[in-house]
Amino acid sequence: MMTAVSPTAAHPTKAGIGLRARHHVDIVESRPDIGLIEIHAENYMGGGIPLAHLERARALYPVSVHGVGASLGSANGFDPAHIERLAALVERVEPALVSEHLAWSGSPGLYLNDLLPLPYTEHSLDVVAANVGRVQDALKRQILIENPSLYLAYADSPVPEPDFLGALVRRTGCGVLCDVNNIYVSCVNLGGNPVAYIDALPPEAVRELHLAGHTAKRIDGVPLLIDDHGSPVTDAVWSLYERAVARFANAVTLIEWDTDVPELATLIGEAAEADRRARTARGSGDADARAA
Amino acid sequence: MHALPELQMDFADSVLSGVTADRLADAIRPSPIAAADRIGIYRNHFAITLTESLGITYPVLKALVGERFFAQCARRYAQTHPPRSPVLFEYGRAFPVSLADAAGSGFAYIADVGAFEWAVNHAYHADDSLPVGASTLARIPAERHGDIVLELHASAQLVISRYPVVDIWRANQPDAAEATIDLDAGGVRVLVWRNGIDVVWQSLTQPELAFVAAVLDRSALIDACTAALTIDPTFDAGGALRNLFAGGAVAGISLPT
Repeated sequence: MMTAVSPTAAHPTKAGIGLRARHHVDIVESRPDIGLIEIHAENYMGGGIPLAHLERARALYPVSVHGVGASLGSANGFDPAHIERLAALVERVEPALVSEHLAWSGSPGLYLNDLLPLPYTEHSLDVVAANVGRVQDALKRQILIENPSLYLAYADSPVPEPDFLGALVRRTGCGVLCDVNNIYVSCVNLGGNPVAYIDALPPEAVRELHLAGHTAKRIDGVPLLIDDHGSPVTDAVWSLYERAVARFANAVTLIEWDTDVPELATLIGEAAEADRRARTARGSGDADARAA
Repeated sequence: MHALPELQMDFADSVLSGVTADRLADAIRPSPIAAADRIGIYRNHFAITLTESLGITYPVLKALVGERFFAQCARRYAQTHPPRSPVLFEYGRAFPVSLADAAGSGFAYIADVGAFEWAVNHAYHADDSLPVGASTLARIPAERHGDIVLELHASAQLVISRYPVVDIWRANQPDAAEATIDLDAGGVRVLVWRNGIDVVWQSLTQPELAFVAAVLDRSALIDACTAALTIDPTFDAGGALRNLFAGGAVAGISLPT
Protein backbone atom coordinates (compact mmCIF):
# COMPACT_ATOMS: atom_id res chain seq x y z
CA MET A 1 0.00 0.00 0.00
CA MET A 2 1.16 3.51 -0.65
CA THR A 3 1.11 6.15 2.01
CA ALA A 4 1.72 9.83 1.76
CA VAL A 5 4.87 10.27 3.79
CA SER A 6 5.62 13.81 4.81
CA PRO A 7 9.15 15.05 5.26
CA THR A 8 9.82 15.54 8.95
CA ALA A 9 11.57 18.40 10.66
CA ALA A 10 15.36 18.43 10.76
CA HIS A 11 16.65 15.80 13.11
CA PRO A 12 17.82 16.91 16.52
CA THR A 13 21.41 15.91 17.17
CA LYS A 14 21.14 15.75 20.94
CA ALA A 15 19.24 13.19 22.97
CA GLY A 16 15.84 14.09 24.36
CA ILE A 17 13.67 13.12 27.30
CA GLY A 18 10.07 12.17 27.90
CA LEU A 19 7.96 15.13 29.06
CA ARG A 20 6.26 14.18 32.32
CA ALA A 21 3.70 16.21 34.26
CA ARG A 22 6.00 16.78 37.26
CA HIS A 23 8.53 18.52 34.96
CA HIS A 24 6.05 20.70 33.05
CA VAL A 25 7.02 23.92 34.79
CA ASP A 26 10.67 23.09 35.45
CA ILE A 27 11.51 22.31 31.83
CA VAL A 28 10.08 25.56 30.47
CA GLU A 29 11.75 27.64 33.17
CA SER A 30 15.17 25.95 33.14
CA ARG A 31 15.34 25.24 29.39
CA PRO A 32 17.80 22.34 29.58
CA ASP A 33 20.09 21.70 26.61
CA ILE A 34 18.28 18.69 25.18
CA GLY A 35 17.41 17.78 21.60
CA LEU A 36 13.69 17.06 21.87
CA ILE A 37 10.82 16.12 24.13
CA GLU A 38 8.51 13.17 23.75
CA ILE A 39 4.92 13.06 24.95
CA HIS A 40 2.57 10.15 25.46
CA ALA A 41 -0.16 11.11 23.00
CA GLU A 42 -3.04 9.90 25.18
CA ASN A 43 -2.11 12.25 28.04
CA TYR A 44 -2.64 15.30 25.81
CA MET A 45 -5.92 14.41 24.13
CA GLY A 46 -7.84 16.96 26.17
CA GLY A 47 -7.27 20.66 26.83
CA GLY A 48 -6.59 22.79 29.90
CA ILE A 49 -3.33 22.79 31.83
CA PRO A 50 -1.64 19.75 30.19
CA LEU A 51 -2.11 21.17 26.70
CA ALA A 52 -1.11 24.66 27.85
CA HIS A 53 2.16 23.26 29.22
CA LEU A 54 2.76 21.32 26.04
CA GLU A 55 2.23 24.48 23.99
CA ARG A 56 4.91 26.26 26.02
CA ALA A 57 7.36 23.35 25.80
CA ARG A 58 6.87 22.88 22.07
CA ALA A 59 7.85 26.49 21.49
CA LEU A 60 11.28 25.49 22.85
CA TYR A 61 11.89 21.94 21.59
CA PRO A 62 10.99 19.65 18.70
CA VAL A 63 8.32 17.20 19.86
CA SER A 64 7.93 13.48 19.35
CA VAL A 65 4.37 12.18 19.75
CA HIS A 66 4.46 8.64 21.11
CA GLY A 67 1.14 6.80 21.10
CA VAL A 68 0.45 3.83 23.36
CA GLY A 69 -3.15 3.05 22.51
CA ALA A 70 -3.55 2.50 18.76
CA SER A 71 -3.45 -1.31 19.12
CA LEU A 72 -1.92 -1.80 15.67
CA GLY A 73 -1.79 -5.57 16.14
CA SER A 74 -5.48 -5.97 16.89
CA ALA A 75 -7.05 -8.57 14.58
CA ASN A 76 -10.47 -6.99 15.11
CA GLY A 77 -9.43 -3.58 13.87
CA PHE A 78 -8.94 -0.53 15.99
CA ASP A 79 -11.00 2.36 17.23
CA PRO A 80 -11.32 4.96 14.43
CA ALA A 81 -12.39 7.62 16.95
CA HIS A 82 -9.09 7.21 18.77
CA ILE A 83 -7.11 7.57 15.57
CA GLU A 84 -9.06 10.76 14.82
CA ARG A 85 -8.01 12.15 18.18
CA LEU A 86 -4.41 11.17 17.48
CA ALA A 87 -4.61 12.88 14.09
CA ALA A 88 -6.01 16.05 15.68
CA LEU A 89 -3.19 16.11 18.24
CA VAL A 90 -0.56 15.57 15.54
CA GLU A 91 -2.05 18.36 13.46
CA ARG A 92 -1.92 20.69 16.44
CA VAL A 93 1.54 19.76 17.74
CA GLU A 94 3.29 19.41 14.35
CA PRO A 95 5.75 16.90 15.80
CA ALA A 96 9.13 15.94 14.33
CA LEU A 97 8.30 12.27 14.91
CA VAL A 98 5.22 10.15 15.57
CA SER A 99 5.49 6.61 16.88
CA GLU A 100 3.43 3.64 18.04
CA HIS A 101 4.07 0.02 19.06
CA LEU A 102 4.29 -3.41 17.53
CA ALA A 103 1.64 -4.77 19.88
CA TRP A 104 -2.08 -5.03 20.46
CA SER A 105 -4.09 -3.67 23.40
CA GLY A 106 -7.63 -5.01 23.00
CA SER A 107 -10.35 -4.54 20.45
CA PRO A 108 -12.62 -1.61 19.62
CA GLY A 109 -14.37 -0.70 22.89
CA LEU A 110 -11.95 -2.68 25.08
CA TYR A 111 -8.57 -1.27 26.08
CA LEU A 112 -6.38 -3.55 28.18
CA ASN A 113 -3.83 -0.83 28.96
CA ASP A 114 -0.76 -2.82 28.04
CA LEU A 115 1.36 -3.57 24.99
CA LEU A 116 0.34 -7.18 24.50
CA PRO A 117 2.50 -9.58 22.48
CA LEU A 118 1.76 -10.68 18.94
CA PRO A 119 2.72 -13.91 17.25
CA TYR A 120 4.97 -13.01 14.31
CA THR A 121 3.41 -14.74 11.32
CA GLU A 122 2.55 -13.84 7.74
CA HIS A 123 -1.04 -13.32 8.86
CA SER A 124 -0.18 -10.98 11.75
CA LEU A 125 2.09 -9.07 9.36
CA ASP A 126 -0.96 -8.53 7.11
CA VAL A 127 -2.96 -7.28 10.11
CA VAL A 128 -0.28 -4.90 11.39
CA ALA A 129 0.61 -3.63 7.91
CA ALA A 130 -3.04 -2.81 7.16
CA ASN A 131 -3.42 -0.97 10.49
CA VAL A 132 -0.14 0.94 10.10
CA GLY A 133 -1.29 1.95 6.62
CA ARG A 134 -4.61 3.21 8.00
CA VAL A 135 -2.91 5.26 10.69
CA GLN A 136 -0.37 6.74 8.27
CA ASP A 137 -3.22 7.64 5.92
CA ALA A 138 -5.19 9.27 8.75
CA LEU A 139 -2.13 11.19 9.97
CA LYS A 140 -0.87 11.91 6.42
CA ARG A 141 2.66 11.06 7.51
CA GLN A 142 5.08 8.33 8.37
CA ILE A 143 4.95 6.73 11.81
CA LEU A 144 7.70 4.80 13.55
CA ILE A 145 6.95 1.39 15.02
CA GLU A 146 8.59 0.36 18.29
CA ASN A 147 9.63 -3.14 19.31
CA PRO A 148 7.91 -4.12 22.60
CA SER A 149 9.32 -5.72 25.75
CA LEU A 150 8.21 -9.34 25.71
CA TYR A 151 7.39 -11.67 28.59
CA LEU A 152 6.23 -14.59 26.50
CA ALA A 153 6.75 -16.10 23.05
CA TYR A 154 4.17 -17.96 21.03
CA ALA A 155 4.78 -21.51 19.84
CA ASP A 156 3.77 -20.51 16.33
CA SER A 157 5.75 -17.33 15.65
CA PRO A 158 8.16 -18.16 12.86
CA VAL A 159 9.29 -14.66 11.85
CA PRO A 160 12.06 -13.11 14.01
CA GLU A 161 10.96 -9.73 15.37
CA PRO A 162 13.57 -7.59 13.55
CA ASP A 163 12.65 -9.31 10.28
CA PHE A 164 8.98 -8.64 11.01
CA LEU A 165 9.77 -4.95 11.50
CA GLY A 166 11.85 -4.93 8.31
CA ALA A 167 8.94 -6.42 6.36
CA LEU A 168 6.62 -3.83 7.86
CA VAL A 169 8.95 -1.06 6.70
CA ARG A 170 8.99 -2.44 3.15
CA ARG A 171 5.21 -2.85 3.00
CA THR A 172 4.08 0.39 4.61
CA GLY A 173 6.94 2.88 4.40
CA CYS A 174 6.89 3.19 8.19
CA GLY A 175 10.07 3.78 10.17
CA VAL A 176 11.40 1.95 13.21
CA LEU A 177 11.72 3.14 16.78
CA CYS A 178 14.38 0.83 18.16
CA ASP A 179 13.95 0.51 21.93
CA VAL A 180 17.36 -0.75 23.03
CA ASN A 181 16.16 -1.57 26.54
CA ASN A 182 13.23 -3.57 25.15
CA ILE A 183 15.56 -5.59 22.94
CA TYR A 184 17.69 -6.42 25.96
CA VAL A 185 14.65 -7.25 28.16
CA SER A 186 13.06 -9.48 25.50
CA CYS A 187 16.33 -11.29 24.76
CA VAL A 188 16.96 -12.01 28.44
CA ASN A 189 13.36 -13.08 29.03
CA LEU A 190 12.94 -15.29 26.00
CA GLY A 191 16.47 -16.13 24.89
CA GLY A 192 18.01 -14.29 21.99
CA ASN A 193 21.09 -12.36 20.98
CA PRO A 194 20.53 -8.61 21.34
CA VAL A 195 23.55 -7.72 19.17
CA ALA A 196 22.30 -9.93 16.34
CA TYR A 197 18.85 -8.32 16.76
CA ILE A 198 20.29 -4.83 16.25
CA ASP A 199 22.33 -6.00 13.28
CA ALA A 200 19.17 -7.43 11.68
CA LEU A 201 17.18 -4.16 11.72
CA PRO A 202 17.18 -2.14 8.48
CA PRO A 203 19.58 0.70 9.42
CA GLU A 204 18.08 3.42 7.21
CA ALA A 205 14.58 2.89 8.68
CA VAL A 206 15.57 3.44 12.30
CA ARG A 207 14.77 7.07 13.16
CA GLU A 208 14.63 6.95 16.94
CA LEU A 209 16.22 5.02 19.80
CA HIS A 210 14.65 4.57 23.24
CA LEU A 211 16.60 4.04 26.44
CA ALA A 212 15.14 3.25 29.86
CA GLY A 213 15.74 1.26 33.01
CA HIS A 214 14.27 -2.13 33.93
CA THR A 215 13.88 -4.22 37.09
CA ALA A 216 15.20 -7.75 37.61
CA LYS A 217 12.73 -10.20 39.18
CA ARG A 218 12.43 -13.96 39.58
CA ILE A 219 9.33 -15.95 38.65
CA ASP A 220 9.25 -19.67 39.55
CA GLY A 221 12.94 -19.22 40.38
CA VAL A 222 13.72 -18.04 36.84
CA PRO A 223 15.20 -14.54 36.35
CA LEU A 224 12.95 -12.19 34.41
CA LEU A 225 13.35 -8.52 33.52
CA ILE A 226 10.40 -6.14 33.85
CA ASP A 227 10.45 -3.06 31.62
CA ASP A 228 9.17 -0.55 34.17
CA HIS A 229 11.01 2.64 33.13
CA GLY A 230 11.73 3.37 36.77
CA SER A 231 15.53 3.45 37.11
CA PRO A 232 18.73 4.49 35.28
CA VAL A 233 19.80 2.74 32.09
CA THR A 234 21.83 -0.36 32.97
CA ASP A 235 25.43 -0.97 31.84
CA ALA A 236 24.40 -3.85 29.58
CA VAL A 237 21.87 -1.62 27.80
CA TRP A 238 24.42 1.21 27.47
CA SER A 239 26.82 -1.21 25.73
CA LEU A 240 24.09 -2.29 23.38
CA TYR A 241 23.19 1.35 22.78
CA GLU A 242 26.75 2.09 21.61
CA ARG A 243 26.34 -0.55 18.92
CA ALA A 244 22.86 0.72 17.97
CA VAL A 245 23.82 4.39 17.80
CA ALA A 246 26.83 3.60 15.60
CA ARG A 247 24.69 1.55 13.24
CA PHE A 248 21.64 3.84 13.10
CA ALA A 249 23.15 7.13 11.98
CA ASN A 250 19.75 8.83 11.38
CA ALA A 251 18.30 8.03 14.76
CA VAL A 252 17.67 10.46 17.59
CA THR A 253 17.86 9.14 21.15
CA LEU A 254 15.24 9.52 23.83
CA ILE A 255 15.36 8.74 27.57
CA GLU A 256 12.12 7.30 28.99
CA TRP A 257 11.31 7.36 32.71
CA ASP A 258 7.71 6.73 33.77
CA THR A 259 7.70 5.13 37.23
CA ASP A 260 8.96 7.04 40.29
CA VAL A 261 9.87 9.91 37.97
CA PRO A 262 13.00 11.61 39.44
CA GLU A 263 14.16 15.22 39.36
CA LEU A 264 14.53 16.73 35.89
CA ALA A 265 18.32 16.85 36.42
CA THR A 266 18.49 13.05 36.58
CA LEU A 267 16.84 12.72 33.18
CA ILE A 268 19.07 15.39 31.69
CA GLY A 269 22.09 13.52 33.10
CA GLU A 270 20.94 10.33 31.34
CA ALA A 271 20.46 12.25 28.08
CA ALA A 272 23.96 13.77 28.40
CA GLU A 273 25.40 10.30 28.96
CA ALA A 274 23.63 9.10 25.81
CA ASP A 275 25.16 12.04 23.89
CA ARG A 276 28.63 11.26 25.24
CA ARG A 277 28.39 7.60 24.24
CA ALA A 278 26.90 8.48 20.85
CA ARG A 279 29.82 10.81 20.06
CA THR A 280 32.32 8.11 20.94
CA ALA A 281 30.45 5.36 19.12
CA ARG A 282 29.86 7.44 16.01
CA GLY A 283 33.56 8.27 15.85
CA SER A 284 33.60 11.99 16.55
CA GLY A 285 34.77 11.57 20.13
CA ASP A 286 38.36 12.58 19.31
CA ALA A 287 37.30 15.77 17.55
CA ASP A 288 35.20 16.72 20.56
CA ALA A 289 38.07 16.04 22.92
CA ARG A 290 40.34 18.35 20.89
CA ALA A 291 37.71 21.07 20.81
CA ALA A 292 37.43 20.86 24.59
CA MET B 1 -3.53 -23.74 15.64
CA HIS B 2 -5.14 -20.63 16.99
CA ALA B 3 -6.34 -17.91 14.63
CA LEU B 4 -5.28 -14.40 15.69
CA PRO B 5 -8.79 -13.10 16.62
CA GLU B 6 -9.43 -16.11 18.90
CA LEU B 7 -5.95 -15.90 20.39
CA GLN B 8 -6.53 -12.26 21.26
CA MET B 9 -9.98 -12.98 22.67
CA ASP B 10 -8.59 -15.74 24.91
CA PHE B 11 -5.75 -13.45 25.97
CA ALA B 12 -8.17 -10.64 26.86
CA ASP B 13 -10.34 -13.10 28.83
CA SER B 14 -7.29 -14.27 30.74
CA VAL B 15 -6.21 -10.71 31.59
CA LEU B 16 -9.72 -9.88 32.83
CA SER B 17 -10.78 -13.12 34.53
CA GLY B 18 -7.48 -14.57 35.72
CA VAL B 19 -8.33 -17.88 34.07
CA THR B 20 -6.06 -19.00 31.22
CA ALA B 21 -7.83 -21.22 28.68
CA ASP B 22 -5.97 -24.43 27.76
CA ARG B 23 -5.81 -23.51 24.09
CA LEU B 24 -4.14 -20.21 25.01
CA ALA B 25 -1.61 -21.94 27.28
CA ASP B 26 -0.91 -24.37 24.43
CA ALA B 27 -0.25 -21.46 22.06
CA ILE B 28 2.58 -20.19 24.26
CA ARG B 29 6.07 -21.57 23.77
CA PRO B 30 6.92 -23.95 26.66
CA SER B 31 9.52 -22.61 29.11
CA PRO B 32 10.51 -23.00 32.77
CA ILE B 33 7.94 -20.28 33.59
CA ALA B 34 4.35 -21.54 33.22
CA ALA B 35 2.28 -19.92 30.46
CA ALA B 36 -0.29 -18.74 33.02
CA ASP B 37 2.45 -17.01 35.02
CA ARG B 38 3.75 -15.28 31.92
CA ILE B 39 0.27 -13.94 31.12
CA GLY B 40 0.07 -13.02 34.82
CA ILE B 41 2.82 -10.43 34.22
CA TYR B 42 0.56 -8.65 31.71
CA ARG B 43 -2.49 -9.04 33.99
CA ASN B 44 -0.56 -7.55 36.87
CA HIS B 45 0.56 -4.60 34.77
CA PHE B 46 -3.03 -4.03 33.65
CA ALA B 47 -4.28 -3.99 37.25
CA ILE B 48 -1.43 -1.90 38.70
CA THR B 49 -1.49 0.80 36.03
CA LEU B 50 -5.28 1.18 36.13
CA THR B 51 -5.18 1.32 39.94
CA GLU B 52 -2.64 4.13 39.58
CA SER B 53 -4.81 5.85 37.02
CA LEU B 54 -7.87 5.71 39.31
CA GLY B 55 -5.66 6.99 42.14
CA ILE B 56 -4.74 10.03 40.04
CA THR B 57 -8.40 10.74 39.25
CA TYR B 58 -9.65 10.06 42.80
CA PRO B 59 -6.95 11.10 45.30
CA VAL B 60 -9.54 12.15 47.91
CA LEU B 61 -11.36 8.82 47.71
CA LYS B 62 -8.00 7.11 48.19
CA ALA B 63 -7.32 9.22 51.28
CA LEU B 64 -10.82 8.54 52.65
CA VAL B 65 -10.85 4.74 52.32
CA GLY B 66 -7.11 4.07 52.66
CA GLU B 67 -4.64 2.93 50.06
CA ARG B 68 -5.16 -0.82 50.56
CA PHE B 69 -8.93 -0.88 50.29
CA PHE B 70 -8.76 1.55 47.37
CA ALA B 71 -6.30 -0.70 45.52
CA GLN B 72 -8.41 -3.83 46.14
CA CYS B 73 -11.52 -2.14 44.79
CA ALA B 74 -9.65 -0.54 41.89
CA ARG B 75 -8.25 -3.88 40.81
CA ARG B 76 -11.70 -5.47 40.85
CA TYR B 77 -13.18 -2.48 39.03
CA ALA B 78 -10.48 -2.71 36.32
CA GLN B 79 -11.43 -6.34 35.71
CA THR B 80 -15.19 -5.76 35.67
CA HIS B 81 -15.14 -2.30 34.01
CA PRO B 82 -12.06 -2.28 31.73
CA PRO B 83 -11.38 0.98 29.88
CA ARG B 84 -13.16 1.49 26.59
CA SER B 85 -10.47 3.86 25.31
CA PRO B 86 -6.76 4.49 25.88
CA VAL B 87 -7.38 8.02 27.16
CA LEU B 88 -7.12 7.14 30.83
CA PHE B 89 -8.06 10.53 32.26
CA GLU B 90 -11.52 9.64 30.97
CA TYR B 91 -11.50 6.28 32.77
CA GLY B 92 -13.44 5.40 35.90
CA ARG B 93 -16.61 7.46 36.01
CA ALA B 94 -18.53 4.64 37.72
CA PHE B 95 -15.75 3.78 40.15
CA PRO B 96 -17.03 5.90 43.09
CA VAL B 97 -20.35 4.02 43.16
CA SER B 98 -18.55 0.71 43.02
CA LEU B 99 -16.20 1.81 45.83
CA ALA B 100 -19.10 3.06 47.98
CA ASP B 101 -20.96 -0.25 47.48
CA ALA B 102 -17.89 -2.17 48.57
CA ALA B 103 -17.44 0.09 51.61
CA GLY B 104 -20.96 -0.77 52.78
CA SER B 105 -23.75 1.11 54.51
CA GLY B 106 -22.74 4.35 56.14
CA PHE B 107 -20.37 5.19 53.28
CA ALA B 108 -22.90 6.42 50.73
CA TYR B 109 -21.21 9.84 50.82
CA ILE B 110 -18.13 8.24 49.22
CA ALA B 111 -19.99 8.00 45.90
CA ASP B 112 -20.89 11.70 46.03
CA VAL B 113 -17.38 12.85 46.98
CA GLY B 114 -16.20 10.77 44.00
CA ALA B 115 -18.77 12.44 41.74
CA PHE B 116 -17.29 15.81 42.70
CA GLU B 117 -13.73 14.54 42.11
CA TRP B 118 -14.86 13.23 38.74
CA ALA B 119 -16.31 16.63 37.83
CA VAL B 120 -13.07 18.37 38.87
CA ASN B 121 -11.01 15.84 36.88
CA HIS B 122 -13.31 16.18 33.87
CA ALA B 123 -13.09 19.97 34.00
CA TYR B 124 -9.28 19.84 34.29
CA HIS B 125 -8.95 17.78 31.09
CA ALA B 126 -11.95 18.86 28.99
CA ASP B 127 -11.29 20.20 25.51
CA ASP B 128 -10.43 23.86 25.20
CA SER B 129 -12.94 26.33 23.83
CA LEU B 130 -12.90 30.09 23.67
CA PRO B 131 -15.38 31.74 26.03
CA VAL B 132 -18.14 33.84 24.52
CA GLY B 133 -18.80 37.24 26.11
CA ALA B 134 -22.18 38.62 27.17
CA SER B 135 -21.82 41.31 24.49
CA THR B 136 -22.70 38.63 21.92
CA LEU B 137 -26.26 38.81 23.23
CA ALA B 138 -26.53 42.43 22.03
CA ARG B 139 -26.23 41.23 18.43
CA ILE B 140 -29.44 39.26 18.80
CA PRO B 141 -32.75 41.18 18.69
CA ALA B 142 -34.28 41.39 22.17
CA GLU B 143 -37.52 39.75 21.06
CA ARG B 144 -35.56 36.60 20.18
CA HIS B 145 -33.57 36.28 23.43
CA GLY B 146 -36.00 33.69 24.72
CA ASP B 147 -35.15 31.39 21.82
CA ILE B 148 -31.41 31.47 22.46
CA VAL B 149 -29.70 28.16 23.23
CA LEU B 150 -26.48 28.48 25.21
CA GLU B 151 -23.65 26.05 24.82
CA LEU B 152 -21.71 25.77 28.06
CA HIS B 153 -17.98 24.97 28.13
CA ALA B 154 -17.26 21.27 27.54
CA SER B 155 -16.05 21.08 31.14
CA ALA B 156 -19.36 22.12 32.74
CA GLN B 157 -20.95 19.54 35.01
CA LEU B 158 -23.47 19.65 37.90
CA VAL B 159 -22.85 17.90 41.20
CA ILE B 160 -25.76 17.48 43.57
CA SER B 161 -25.43 15.75 46.91
CA ARG B 162 -27.10 15.66 50.31
CA TYR B 163 -23.62 15.60 51.85
CA PRO B 164 -21.15 18.49 52.20
CA VAL B 165 -18.87 16.96 49.55
CA VAL B 166 -17.03 20.17 48.69
CA ASP B 167 -15.99 20.61 52.35
CA ILE B 168 -14.91 16.97 52.48
CA TRP B 169 -12.92 17.42 49.28
CA ARG B 170 -11.26 20.58 50.63
CA ALA B 171 -10.37 18.97 53.94
CA ASN B 172 -8.58 16.18 52.08
CA GLN B 173 -6.33 18.35 49.93
CA PRO B 174 -2.58 17.90 50.59
CA ASP B 175 -2.22 21.35 52.18
CA ALA B 176 -5.47 21.30 54.21
CA ALA B 177 -5.56 21.82 57.96
CA GLU B 178 -7.08 19.14 60.18
CA ALA B 179 -10.90 19.47 60.09
CA THR B 180 -13.94 17.71 61.46
CA ILE B 181 -16.88 17.61 59.09
CA ASP B 182 -20.44 16.80 60.06
CA LEU B 183 -21.90 14.60 57.31
CA ASP B 184 -25.35 16.00 58.14
CA ALA B 185 -24.23 19.63 57.84
CA GLY B 186 -26.17 20.05 54.61
CA GLY B 187 -25.82 19.15 50.95
CA VAL B 188 -24.45 20.90 47.89
CA ARG B 189 -25.59 21.96 44.45
CA VAL B 190 -22.61 23.11 42.41
CA LEU B 191 -21.72 23.80 38.84
CA VAL B 192 -18.10 22.77 38.15
CA TRP B 193 -16.35 24.05 35.02
CA ARG B 194 -13.05 25.40 33.74
CA ASN B 195 -12.41 29.12 33.28
CA GLY B 196 -9.30 29.35 31.09
CA ILE B 197 -7.04 26.77 32.73
CA ASP B 198 -8.55 27.09 36.22
CA VAL B 199 -11.07 24.58 37.49
CA VAL B 200 -13.77 26.51 39.34
CA TRP B 201 -17.17 25.85 40.86
CA GLN B 202 -20.11 27.81 42.09
CA SER B 203 -22.87 26.93 44.55
CA LEU B 204 -26.36 27.24 43.11
CA THR B 205 -29.71 27.95 44.71
CA GLN B 206 -32.59 25.61 43.87
CA PRO B 207 -33.95 27.89 41.07
CA GLU B 208 -30.42 28.53 39.73
CA LEU B 209 -29.92 24.78 39.59
CA ALA B 210 -33.14 24.38 37.60
CA PHE B 211 -31.96 27.13 35.22
CA VAL B 212 -28.45 25.72 34.70
CA ALA B 213 -29.70 22.14 34.34
CA ALA B 214 -32.06 23.28 31.59
CA VAL B 215 -29.26 25.23 29.87
CA LEU B 216 -27.00 22.13 30.03
CA ASP B 217 -29.86 20.19 28.41
CA ARG B 218 -29.80 22.72 25.55
CA SER B 219 -33.22 24.11 26.38
CA ALA B 220 -34.09 27.56 25.02
CA LEU B 221 -33.49 30.38 27.51
CA ILE B 222 -37.21 30.95 27.91
CA ASP B 223 -37.69 27.35 29.03
CA ALA B 224 -34.69 27.52 31.36
CA CYS B 225 -36.13 30.67 32.93
CA THR B 226 -39.57 29.11 33.26
CA ALA B 227 -38.06 26.12 35.06
CA ALA B 228 -36.42 28.46 37.57
CA LEU B 229 -39.41 30.81 37.93
CA THR B 230 -41.69 27.86 38.71
CA ILE B 231 -39.58 27.31 41.83
CA ASP B 232 -39.06 30.97 42.71
CA PRO B 233 -41.16 33.70 41.01
CA THR B 234 -38.51 36.30 41.99
CA PHE B 235 -35.68 34.42 40.19
CA ASP B 236 -33.20 36.87 38.62
CA ALA B 237 -32.60 35.41 35.16
CA GLY B 238 -30.38 38.33 34.09
CA GLY B 239 -28.12 37.82 37.10
CA ALA B 240 -27.84 34.07 36.48
CA LEU B 241 -26.93 34.70 32.83
CA ARG B 242 -24.34 37.35 33.72
CA ASN B 243 -22.72 34.89 36.17
CA LEU B 244 -22.31 32.25 33.46
CA PHE B 245 -20.79 34.73 30.99
CA ALA B 246 -18.55 36.42 33.56
CA GLY B 247 -17.19 33.05 34.70
CA GLY B 248 -16.17 32.05 31.18
CA ALA B 249 -18.67 29.18 31.27
CA VAL B 250 -20.38 30.00 27.96
CA ALA B 251 -18.73 28.56 24.86
CA GLY B 252 -21.39 29.30 22.28
CA ILE B 253 -24.74 30.88 21.50
CA SER B 254 -27.13 29.66 18.89
CA LEU B 255 -30.56 30.57 17.63
CA PRO B 256 -32.74 27.87 16.13
CA THR B 257 -33.76 28.94 12.63
